[in-house]
Amino acid sequence: METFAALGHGFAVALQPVNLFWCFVGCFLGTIVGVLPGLGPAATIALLLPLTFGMDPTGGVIMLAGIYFGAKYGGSTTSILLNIPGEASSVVTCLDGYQMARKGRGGAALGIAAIASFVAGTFGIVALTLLAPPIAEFALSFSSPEYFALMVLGLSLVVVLGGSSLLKALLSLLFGLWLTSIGTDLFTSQSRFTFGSSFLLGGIDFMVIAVGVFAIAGVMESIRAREENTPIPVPNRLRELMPSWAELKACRFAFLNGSVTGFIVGVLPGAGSAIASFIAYGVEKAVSRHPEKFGTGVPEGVAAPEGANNADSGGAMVPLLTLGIPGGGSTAILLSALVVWGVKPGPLMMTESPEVFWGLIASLYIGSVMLLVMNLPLVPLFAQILRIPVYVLFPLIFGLALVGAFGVSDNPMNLMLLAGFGLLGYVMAQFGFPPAPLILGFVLGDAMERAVRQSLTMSMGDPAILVERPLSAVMLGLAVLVLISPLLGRLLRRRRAGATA
Amino acid sequence: MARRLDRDVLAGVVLAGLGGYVAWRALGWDILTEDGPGPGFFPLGYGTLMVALSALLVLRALLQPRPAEEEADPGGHWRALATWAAFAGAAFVMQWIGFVAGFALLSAFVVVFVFERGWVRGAVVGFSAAAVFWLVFERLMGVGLPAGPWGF
Repeated sequence: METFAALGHGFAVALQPVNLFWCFVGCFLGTIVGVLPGLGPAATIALLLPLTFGMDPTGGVIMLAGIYFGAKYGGSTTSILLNIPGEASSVVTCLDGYQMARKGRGGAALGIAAIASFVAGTFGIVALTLLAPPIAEFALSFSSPEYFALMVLGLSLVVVLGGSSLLKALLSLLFGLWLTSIGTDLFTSQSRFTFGSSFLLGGIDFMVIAVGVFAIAGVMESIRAREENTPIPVPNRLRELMPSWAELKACRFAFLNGSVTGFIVGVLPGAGSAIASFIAYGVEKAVSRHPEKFGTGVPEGVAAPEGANNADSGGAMVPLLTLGIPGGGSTAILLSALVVWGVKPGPLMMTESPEVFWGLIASLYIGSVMLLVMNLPLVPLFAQILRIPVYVLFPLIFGLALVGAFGVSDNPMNLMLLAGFGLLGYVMAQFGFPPAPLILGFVLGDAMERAVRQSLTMSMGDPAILVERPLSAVMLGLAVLVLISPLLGRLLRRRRAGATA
Repeated sequence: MARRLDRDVLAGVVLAGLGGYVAWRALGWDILTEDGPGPGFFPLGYGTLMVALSALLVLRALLQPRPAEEEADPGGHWRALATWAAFAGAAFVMQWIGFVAGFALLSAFVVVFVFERGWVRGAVVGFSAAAVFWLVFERLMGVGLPAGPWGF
């Protein structure tokens, strides 16, 4: 009951005309930038973040949430019309979405993607509303050792689930931890890894890293691959965008499947929307009466993955808002953005900043409706963005990145760092190192170091404190299990293969 | 096969070097004091781990080399790196010539040299993009951008 009263208060905040306006602007801009191929939600949020500087915290946070959800919506457009996934989670949508577009049902495919995103996205937000208060209350009993263990567990899941190579994901994470150490020590004010530069004493701004490794590297990769856009034309009449009754009926289970799968996978750190969409597609195909038709343009092949990658957003908000632990690149950037606003996500957020917390959740509901209403009639307009030649588009992305990097500190040195991190992101991509663990390591590094040092200070330097407390021991044990699970899996497979031979 | 092997070995060696540097620097700071762990404690931990994991990466690459993927367009890397060089160059000179001129030059370079669309189109895109950014960010939103000797 308390939850609903608080949510009602949140709606009172989110429905204020100025907040409604920012929610609309966030959804609109998020969708526009999200439509661009090569720019996923993480790059979109990082690029558009400077637009929220100078706003009041509630409005800024609401606009950011709009950008996050809008960017997720936009990703499907390129998959369906260009057969180029706008982000990893839209890869599966290409399979049936592009085939539907080739058969002249591109409008219906976009409509189904929008409806599935709305249904599953709303399910994810409802689940977030119900789960967030008890989880936050439980987390209030956490002390430094539990926080440290929780972060270790979260990061272990990220490196195991998030990348193709566990070793490379771990190294990427450690590199992020090093980047976060650059600057002044939290406890003693000792300067670390500053190379004698006074500029580095304040540390590196997360935005410079995020925009560099996601946006600049993304553009470089597109230029390397010589991506050119030639979208399939989209009908511009609303009626032609609406799926038929038969198509909607075929998607009934897909809406439910996408909602549940997406939310559950979203809660797990590191699993991310790409895995959610693959699992939802797999489940859909497995239970279908005509699995052989998947890949030829069936509507449920669009609805399940698109629903899953939007329900995932609600799931990803659970650990972010209740524990202050992001599960992926996008939520890591959201976390840092919230900190810029003076809002600290975690178990105390609900009591310390109730209007921001519940205002944000209420604005997610409003944003979800706004995105549906906006996406159905405006899909032809968004599709026109794909007609902007890449030789115009890429300089615009560079411009946004430069403005953002300079805007955070008014220091031209940030521009050079931005270029450096752009190159780093490109090299990482070529060498097969995933960028998300680096961002997570950077965002969580300070909190992790603080937690472990506070724990050891509490125990007078005895590391046993980390395993003596039951919760902390369980989480660290789980983290070890998670980290050795690929090795165990490989050993089991070898044993089985040996037994069959 | 050689390419794949070289990349993982190269990455492993560079990261092992970085890990070694981190651990060496950390040893110069307090590790454990009477008040608890010092500033060197955490970096020493992840620096050492970085060396160990990098060594594993190198070993894996040497013992289990995987076949290299065929590079469809070898010139692609040079195109991407030339774009990056232009970006870094523009970012560097912006503190003297300002955002507007630096961004206009960068945009024109991308159009003319990376996408080979001709000087006229390059000039139009460069000028228009810089003008739009100046108008939106500097004039409308009041975001401070690096200024050149001509005031913008």
